[in-house]
Amino acid sequence: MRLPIWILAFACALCTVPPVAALAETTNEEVAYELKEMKKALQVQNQLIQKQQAKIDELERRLETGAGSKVVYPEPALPEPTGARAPAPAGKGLGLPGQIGALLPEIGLVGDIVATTSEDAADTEGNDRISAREVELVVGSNVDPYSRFDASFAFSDFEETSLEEAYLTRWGLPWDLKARFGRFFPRVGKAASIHRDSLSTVDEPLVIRRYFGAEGFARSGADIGGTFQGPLSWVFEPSVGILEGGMGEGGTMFGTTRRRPTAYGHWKNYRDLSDSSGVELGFTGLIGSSDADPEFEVKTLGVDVTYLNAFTPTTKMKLQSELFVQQRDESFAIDPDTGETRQFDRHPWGAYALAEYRFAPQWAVGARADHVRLVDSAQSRHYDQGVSAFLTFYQSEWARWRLQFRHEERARDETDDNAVFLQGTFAIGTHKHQIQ
Amino acid sequence: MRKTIAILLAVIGTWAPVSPARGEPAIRVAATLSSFADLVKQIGGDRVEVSTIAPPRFNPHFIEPRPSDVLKVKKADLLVHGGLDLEAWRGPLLDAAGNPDLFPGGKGELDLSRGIPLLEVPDRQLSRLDGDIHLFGNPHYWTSPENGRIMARAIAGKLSEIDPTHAEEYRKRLADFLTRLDGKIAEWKQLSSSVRGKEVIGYHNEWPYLMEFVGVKLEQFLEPKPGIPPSPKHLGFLENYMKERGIKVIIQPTYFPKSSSEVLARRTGATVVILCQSVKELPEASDYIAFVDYNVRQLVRALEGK
Repeated sequence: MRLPIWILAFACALCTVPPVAALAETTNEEVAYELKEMKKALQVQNQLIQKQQAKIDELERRLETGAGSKVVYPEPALPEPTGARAPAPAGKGLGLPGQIGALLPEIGLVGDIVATTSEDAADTEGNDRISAREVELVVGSNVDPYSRFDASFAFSDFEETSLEEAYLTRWGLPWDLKARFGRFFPRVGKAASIHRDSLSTVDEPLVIRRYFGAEGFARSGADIGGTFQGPLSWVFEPSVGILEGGMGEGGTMFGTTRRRPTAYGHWKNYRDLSDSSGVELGFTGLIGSSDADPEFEVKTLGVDVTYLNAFTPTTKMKLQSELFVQQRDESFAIDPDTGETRQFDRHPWGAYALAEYRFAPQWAVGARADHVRLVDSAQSRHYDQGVSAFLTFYQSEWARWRLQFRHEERARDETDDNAVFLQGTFAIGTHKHQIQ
Repeated sequence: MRKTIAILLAVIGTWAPVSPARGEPAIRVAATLSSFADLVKQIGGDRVEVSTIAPPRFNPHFIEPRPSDVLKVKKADLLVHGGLDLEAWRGPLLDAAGNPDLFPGGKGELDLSRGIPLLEVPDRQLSRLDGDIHLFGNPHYWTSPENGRIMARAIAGKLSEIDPTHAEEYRKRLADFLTRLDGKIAEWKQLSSSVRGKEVIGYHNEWPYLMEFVGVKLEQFLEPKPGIPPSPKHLGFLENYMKERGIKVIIQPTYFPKSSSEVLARRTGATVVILCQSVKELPEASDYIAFVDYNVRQLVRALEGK
């Protein structure tokens, strides 16, 4: 019987093929060998790439310098500092041709949302509530090479819209002075002269609320000031101004009638203590009328002290205190029924002390103590005082949460009030903080 | 009365900056960063009196200028800054100082970003969803010595423009500086050739120019988005990312907290390497060349596992 030739060939092939185990062994060895060879080749290739890269770098360098192997700069050109920039991004993808944005003012919006729970039955804004306490629209831009205009508008779910600031800053005056004209926060102490979102606490210190008003001391007027070098590395910032009379909401230092302007002056003294710490001592003087009768003056002297220390790039401490003392010509009231004259405190004063410690990049704690003698108070207890403690969480550069507990003892009805605030402050757009 | 005025003027005169070498008034320069201040000093020599605004151990993005800084800018003949949107505090500082010569486009203003081939220039519309956005490209360009050349030339050009009678001195100092820098650039290139193509993790996206120079890959950061602190979820992602790719180096400057980097390093067996963003941030980074030298050597040493 003859087997087909292909069957014989198949049988022979089977006989010559090693068993499966042997096959696997041989394959592994071969693969290992091939892998070893490949690694060697890869190593050689890498060395080659590195050599080539070094050559390319050297050639690029020569090409750039235009020199041979030895780089010589006998007469280096001093090119114009206005070299070619990388592809200009301005307006790219915004649907705006390059420079149109430069003509638009900087626009920012700061939301100040506060949840409050308190025991004060006389609080006209209510007790347990969440309110958009203030949404501040901030707009500003250079007007021309000599001046800048800034304005801010305050919106609230409880109060009418108000013009908080609208002023022109003019620089380049003699002796490098700067002037402001319009409605602004005059440089009166520290807490009264800044926007709410720059405060360390949810609310203004008591002395600011009682004397200057619940939302600081924005007034219309004009002032002029400058920064000068003093002796012993002190920096002096004197400023003087004339403001409309009257006060902010609820303020009692001056009368509510804007019959006579208020004059003010501030002298700020600052000194660096190190590259990350400094101390500031400021003096404020104010003269205004106590009411509709401009003959009765109120003279106020303020002193503020601030110590700042950034121990590390992410931890810093602020200690601050302010004192305001008044001298009131009209420190009496005549009872219309009996004709009797009642004397009030002629030199009411108020102060606060604040400590804030940012102990981590996103966390800060602090406390504030307040005491203020009330103006023309007929109460047996004629002062308000309180303590506050707060915890701040910085969600990001533009969003911040603050939890604050406040205990206040008030002259009005001799009541105490405990309040808890949760504040969220959020900023969008361009929002510049003035240097304090 | 005249005598009193004369005495007062003499006292005021003693406050004016004077070149100790020749008794000529020096050019008063305010530099926003210590790296720029050092370059100005290297080119200007004793012809310049340089002050720095941002302390080198602080994040240059988040400086709170002080009244003493306002005074520096007010008195300056020249403001040298990083341009772009690096120093968000520069605008309020200029407003407070009210020195019109230093305003953008003024004769005493030098924007060092001009002429720099910028990286990461946005090619799409950005929003705050992207974190702390840089609208004009990554502003940390001074970390590459290649850009050091461009900045030095720009400084020499500006000083010559303000003080043309001493242009020759600036030219000589520029030549000397560029010769030294180029010598070091070749050395750094050679040194870093062994780590080209390797990858590291950063804390914040502030190293693209240095990484491009040394040829090291840096694509992931502890901050999930620029300016947004690390989150546990993001650290988890980075842990897997590093393990999958065998990444063993995390870089960050001194001013970010090290805790998150160290947690990630413990989980992955990586090393946290402190690099400098600014001249004088650490004692080893005593001038611009020492600053780059320190960064390159630290990075190479870590990547080589030494």
